[in-house]
Amino acid sequence: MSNLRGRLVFWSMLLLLIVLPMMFLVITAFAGVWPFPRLMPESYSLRAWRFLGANSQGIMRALGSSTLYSLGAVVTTVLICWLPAQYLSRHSFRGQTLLEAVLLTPALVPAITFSMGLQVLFIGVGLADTMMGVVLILSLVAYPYMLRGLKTGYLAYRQAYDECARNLGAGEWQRLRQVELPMVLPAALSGGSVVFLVAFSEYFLVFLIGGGLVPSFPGFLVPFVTGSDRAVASALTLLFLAVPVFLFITQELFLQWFYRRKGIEFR
Amino acid sequence: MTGTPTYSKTKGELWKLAPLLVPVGMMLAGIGHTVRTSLAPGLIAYEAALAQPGLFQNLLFSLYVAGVSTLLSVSIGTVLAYLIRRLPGVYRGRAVGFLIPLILPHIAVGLLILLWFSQSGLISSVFEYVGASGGFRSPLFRGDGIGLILGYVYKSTPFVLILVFPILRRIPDGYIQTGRMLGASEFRCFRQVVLPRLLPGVFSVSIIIFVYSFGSYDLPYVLGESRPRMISLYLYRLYFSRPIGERPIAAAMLVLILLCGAALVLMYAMAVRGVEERERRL
Repeated sequence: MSNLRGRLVFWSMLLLLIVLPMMFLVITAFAGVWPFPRLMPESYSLRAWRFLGANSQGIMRALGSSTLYSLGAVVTTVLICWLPAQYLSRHSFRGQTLLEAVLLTPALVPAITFSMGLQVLFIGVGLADTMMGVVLILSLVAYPYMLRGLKTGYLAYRQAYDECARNLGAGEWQRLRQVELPMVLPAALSGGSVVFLVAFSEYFLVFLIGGGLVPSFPGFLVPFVTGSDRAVASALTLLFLAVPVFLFITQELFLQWFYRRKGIEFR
Repeated sequence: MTGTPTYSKTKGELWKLAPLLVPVGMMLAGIGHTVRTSLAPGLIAYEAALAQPGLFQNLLFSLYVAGVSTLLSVSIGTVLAYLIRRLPGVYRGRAVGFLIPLILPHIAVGLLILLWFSQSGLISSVFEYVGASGGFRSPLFRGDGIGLILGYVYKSTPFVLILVFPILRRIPDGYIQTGRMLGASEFRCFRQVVLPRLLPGVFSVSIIIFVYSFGSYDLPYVLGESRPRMISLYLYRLYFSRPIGERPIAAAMLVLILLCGAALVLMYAMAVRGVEERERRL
């Protein structure tokens, strides 16, 4: 490929698909009066942001609740997947491919097929309309991503490390803590990012199982998107982007700190 | 390749799979409840379900929206990944920008589509501004699913990008260079050298995207037309907004969709096995 043409395609796609939509979102969030055929607002105002300020209590509640159940789903999926991923990466047995495909089912069949029945069952055991129920349903939908991530991490982990540690006299717990954990951590975190994103942006399942009693940020956003106040909807969307971006930066800094402390070269 | 490590004391470790019983058990319980509901009076509910006038129309509409979205996002994502692979290394960092739609929830993607494509949106303004004859007729809510397709493509393309790029990276540069040196065009190199190595991976990505676009609720809730209607919205209404005596009908439809899903799981397993065998051969 003539490199120039490739670069041109790259930049124009980035401009058209990402930069312009994001800029337009920012402009809409700061727009005041904006009569129809004008390309730019006639005046700018902080009205949408003042609205966010005035409703900060409800917004923080929704944002906090969404962050909480999403982190809950990350922790739950780690607990569900860690040992199975270790097992699946170290063994090969008949029917393994089929088993692993079956384990990916929640990503391969539409969530409505099992979640609506589950909602009725959750009412029976008192999990409907609770935070715990929401965490469980989100973990169910998202665990395949964690399993896949952890398995990839364990496949890169060589048996030799384990043998080395064992030769030096490390017990099972010490090997897990000092050898396996640091080696598999990046894979766990990247699986965790996917789980977090899936959980954090989900609207329907939280609404179905949470029954409107578990606040969610997408749920807060919906009436503004379907309504006509686009400035507020845009401002809320921008606020929404801030949370995962903040978490990913924190995660990256944590990894760097962790590896420096352990004396392992980073990546 | 790392190969398959074989551990000496392996047999007694099957208990390590036990935690998976939690999600699998939940899923089976949910499915079981749906199946039981659908069977309430024999197979009557299934007959009633198949006789519902809206079902096939909505089903076809969902298949069409999901199919077109998948085809478009997989093609754009794969070509984009190949482009980034062929550009100098610094472009990999710059390409992170393309991942932004991944953090946007579907509801917010719906907002973006509305801002751009609605009758009072940006594109309509541009048409009006340059005085294009005939003006702009919004493609949203017209019953042909274009709004939904735009939304799903926007959301899924970066997903294809991050899944296909690692596969592309494993194809040695030399293969492509050799092809070029032997006189193949860039397009032919892509088609004959890169694409065959990519297909199994692309296939599994396609299934995931297809199923999601087929059955998800969020985007149709914001952008969906009411006739024809995406199957997820249709089933939700049938399940919760109708007299409870009609619930077996909705449950029967869910079971039918689930059976199609099971077929997809099998296809996925075969595709994955294909990838693994190919890798062993290469």
